[in-house]
Amino acid sequence: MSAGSRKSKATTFILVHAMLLVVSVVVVVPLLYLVISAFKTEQGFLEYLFLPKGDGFLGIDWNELTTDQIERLFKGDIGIGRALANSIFLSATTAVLGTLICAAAGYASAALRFRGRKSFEWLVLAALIIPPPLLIAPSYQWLHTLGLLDSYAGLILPAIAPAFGVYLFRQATLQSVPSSIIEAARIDGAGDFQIFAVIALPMLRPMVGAFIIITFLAMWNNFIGPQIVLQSAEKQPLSVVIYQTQTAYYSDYGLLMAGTLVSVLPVMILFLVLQRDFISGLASGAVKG
Amino acid sequence: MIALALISGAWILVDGSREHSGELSMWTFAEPHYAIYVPAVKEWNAGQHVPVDMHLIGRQVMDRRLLGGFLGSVPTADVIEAERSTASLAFAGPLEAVGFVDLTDRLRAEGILDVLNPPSLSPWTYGGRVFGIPHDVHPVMLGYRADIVEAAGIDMDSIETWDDLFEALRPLQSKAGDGGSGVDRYIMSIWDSESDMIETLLLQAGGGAFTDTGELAIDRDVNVEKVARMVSWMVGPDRVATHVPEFSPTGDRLKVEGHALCYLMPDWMCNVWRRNVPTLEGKVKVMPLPAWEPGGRRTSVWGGSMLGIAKTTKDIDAAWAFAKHLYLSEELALELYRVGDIVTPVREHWDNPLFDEPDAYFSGQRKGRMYIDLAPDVPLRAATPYFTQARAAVQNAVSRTRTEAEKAGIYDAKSIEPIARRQLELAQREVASLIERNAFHRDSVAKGGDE
Repeated sequence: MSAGSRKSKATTFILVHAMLLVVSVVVVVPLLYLVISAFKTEQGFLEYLFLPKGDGFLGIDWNELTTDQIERLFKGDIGIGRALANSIFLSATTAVLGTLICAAAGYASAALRFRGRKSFEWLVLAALIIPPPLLIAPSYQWLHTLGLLDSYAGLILPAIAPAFGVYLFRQATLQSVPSSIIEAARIDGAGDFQIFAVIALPMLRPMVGAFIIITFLAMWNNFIGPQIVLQSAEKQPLSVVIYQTQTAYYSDYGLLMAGTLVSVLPVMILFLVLQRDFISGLASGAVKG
Repeated sequence: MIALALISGAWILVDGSREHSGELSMWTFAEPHYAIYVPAVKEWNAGQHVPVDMHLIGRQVMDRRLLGGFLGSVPTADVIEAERSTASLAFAGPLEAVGFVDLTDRLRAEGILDVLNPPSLSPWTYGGRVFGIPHDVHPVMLGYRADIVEAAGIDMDSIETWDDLFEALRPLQSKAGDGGSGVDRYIMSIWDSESDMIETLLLQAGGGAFTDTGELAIDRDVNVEKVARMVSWMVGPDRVATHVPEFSPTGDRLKVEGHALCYLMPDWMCNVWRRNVPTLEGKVKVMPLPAWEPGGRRTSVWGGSMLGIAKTTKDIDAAWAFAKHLYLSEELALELYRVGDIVTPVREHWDNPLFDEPDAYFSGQRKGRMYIDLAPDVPLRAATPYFTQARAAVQNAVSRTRTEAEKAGIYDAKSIEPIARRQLELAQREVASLIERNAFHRDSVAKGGDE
């Protein structure tokens, strides 16, 4: 390799990493601000942007930081503990059921031959282009008719078979599950469900991981849906309960930051646990088709 | 993930069986109101009454939950304190579909209608029926930087109209650096982006997007003329108006610096200033709004809430008893003023000496009495579910008028009128097309333009 080529590579390396550094700062700073703000006093929140200057370690007044906001969050009458349980329940249940149903439907669409398969595929594709806000009113009417308003099921059921998920798993099946393996299993006497559960699903694992995160996050961040479907205060998820700390004329920023931190942490942990599956899932069949 | 679902499900199952302390529930949206009600609710629950659980929830959250509850016939709170934009959502259909209990007969039978400030009932009166007890009157005065104005020897008592105000205070207007001020200084805080302020001033003039009887009339003459005059304040090199946003740290900073001298000040805004800009204590005063014309109305109205009872309540009588306790008792009315600077709509409490006490923040003025003196004169407002859309359309029209006038170099109110008329006609058509989709409100679309 010539000296010029090495120099050019080094320049590219520096430029790329400088850009990545800038992007990292853009991503990390708000998160850092959130974490620090959750430990500030109400007064401190308005007085300084990040950490208070003082005589402590690194020139920071560490005594100014407090866990008061977190304590208020859990000890007050906000009901954050129950809201956390609601969010976890809604998100985890939707993620598990949604992934299973979408994987099954996607597998069936890609691997099975049945009457109406083409129509089914067209239906899924057509459903993909409908903007979700358009479905709010008809969904509400359906939920009302079925008596599912103010119930967890009213939020979970409409979210467990999204067209996007079905299509994603259809593509993943075409990409990752060779038809020869399915045929071989069939010759060996395996039934359709057995083939799906024992052979196809493990081969779709990266997509399963990615889709679990996608569905979990979608329900975790669902803000409008719970406000429309749920009425009882004790059924509301974190997204709504935290927003409720902001009222007309007054915002309790300390409480808001502490609540936001509590709501962000579980999702971060989940992403860290499943990030490998998430990335490989997105990089596989889903994008290649 | 399955374990998470199972564990959280079990948690909910166990927690879900807990009992509420109250048999009735109440929603409110404003933290100051909530703070006032907490002791009152505690006292109520300690007595021989049906106990109440009170919840403070965000306004947008309340909007969605209220509408969802009313449309789906699923329970909401029993007693709901709702701001005008929230409550009016319930008035989109026929009378029998309103989700609030019709309180007219109860109010009349118990003589309550006679003790309430009549104009304060209008936003909650739909189809001639009253669906809420008013929480407030919210008369508007003009707040001004008395320290600056009085130091210049200007007598604010001699000001009767908006024109008088701008003429009297014109010498105080300055650019940063001129006259020792570190900031640009303008006479009035009002801007084309502030729909509430625009609505307040149109209502003062007897205009507004709707007539008193609820007909859409955005492009009527009174609005055209007043919008043109307002826009003339905001354009040109010598404009007298500026933008000092409310409820924002930036706006609070500009207030302290004296960027604007005068502000629209409904009674509740006194409390917002007291809390957010305490350093202005003793530097601010209020006076009746300058009239549009000599002899004209010296106040207007901005904001408002009501207490309504949801039809889905398990116990209407208990909810009614609680609502009366909360909104009609003298003790709470006084607390409302003491803690929130809000004047009660219950006229029989207006004689209380509390309202005559000097207010240190407002330079020792007896501002409670000043607001009460204006209370009977606040303009009527129709109960319509479209007022937020109409208000936004008017604001857009004002904005477009200002931009067009500024671009064309037209600064005189009379010359701005044709632009204002065109833009308001556009706004009228826009809102009318929205209303015409609603079979129950189609008739409220007036021809427009005619007084």
